[in-house]
Amino acid sequence: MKISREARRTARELFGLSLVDGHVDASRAEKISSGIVAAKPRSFLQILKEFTRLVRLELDKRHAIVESAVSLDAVTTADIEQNLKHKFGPDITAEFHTTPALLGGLRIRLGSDVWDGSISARLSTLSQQL
Amino acid sequence: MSNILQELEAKIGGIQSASTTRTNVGTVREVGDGVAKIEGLSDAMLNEMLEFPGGLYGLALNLEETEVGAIILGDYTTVSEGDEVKTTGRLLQVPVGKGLLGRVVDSLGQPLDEKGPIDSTEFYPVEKLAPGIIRRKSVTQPVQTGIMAIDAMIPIGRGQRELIIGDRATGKTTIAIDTILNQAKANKAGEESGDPTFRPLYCIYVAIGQKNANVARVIGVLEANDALKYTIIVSSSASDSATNQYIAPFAGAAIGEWFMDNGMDALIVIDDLTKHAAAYRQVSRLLNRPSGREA
Repeated sequence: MKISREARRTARELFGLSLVDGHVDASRAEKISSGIVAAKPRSFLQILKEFTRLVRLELDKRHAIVESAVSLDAVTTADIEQNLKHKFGPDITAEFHTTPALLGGLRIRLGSDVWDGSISARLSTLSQQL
Repeated sequence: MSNILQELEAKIGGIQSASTTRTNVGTVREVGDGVAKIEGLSDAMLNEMLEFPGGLYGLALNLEETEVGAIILGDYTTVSEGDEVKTTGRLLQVPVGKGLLGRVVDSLGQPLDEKGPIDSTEFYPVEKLAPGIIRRKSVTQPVQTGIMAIDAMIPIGRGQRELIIGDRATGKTTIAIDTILNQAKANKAGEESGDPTFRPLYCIYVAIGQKNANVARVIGVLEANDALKYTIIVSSSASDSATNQYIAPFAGAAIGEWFMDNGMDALIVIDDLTKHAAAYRQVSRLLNRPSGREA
């Protein structure tokens, strides 16, 4: 769906209203989205889609995706989550995935930053250097 | 043999001891006609090279609040929505130097003539600020085109730009090729004379949006007159993507700047700017940028 410039601007303004101390407030975001659906302003679907996209991008900045080659035990996951909270703030949440293609090590994605300590990444670096 | 092994082991050791690398990534949201919109990439810089899956590279041209508009340099049909894109921290570069003389390269400096890899260790950024007007020397030496009417009535100097305008099939390319041939003749005569003050003029022919047959004909003429050894051909033919055609004159200019920075002279022929303007317009419309251009 093509989102018009006007819908984009409105969505950005509404997104600004959903922030508290620079972070998305779930209750405000919920209230705004319900308000859009109830009021049905012009091109409300476009506004809602763009608003959802902005909220998703903002939430991704506070939600880490941790990938490992084998499933991690509870102690390790708790340890990683604790370290992430220590480094990036207490509101960081983490999600753990198993990706055998990594071969070993960890790959952590937070927002648009990736910390890749996996063996597959090292092998690809090696192949590029050779 | 042992040297090679030591080198390889050192490289492997360096990688093993390297700590985890931090990269900035994004996700392709939309792709079409050689232009991709990428969500994320919060640290991307303007004109930075972006790495797409499959060893494909792109160039970040539009930095927006939540996304980046990039042109893809190469076969964009392999890129699809959801692909991960990485920043590289490097600007788009092309190989430069005398190793390119006599070669035919594409707009990224990759060889097209099946004569093996380019013998060059130096790279220049494609997009670079031009030297200021104060730093430039006045035009003191002419470029002999070999066409008496031009050399007598509208002489061209080294360090000057000249626009060749005309209707279709009136001989614009011929003037450029004749000039390149004349430079080769003058270079040969200068080398044979042994004059230490002689400054050869190397030529760079940038073909934009032309038929491959036309480019092949130009190469044939240059080869037949033994002028190819003083010439570099940058070809971005009509079958190449608009993004590659857009980059081609910048690549040619970067190659020419190397000669300038090393105290040599170079003549760059851009054939032609109308097709470049069409390619630029196409890229700009896809990126929601003004399709007009600075003079």
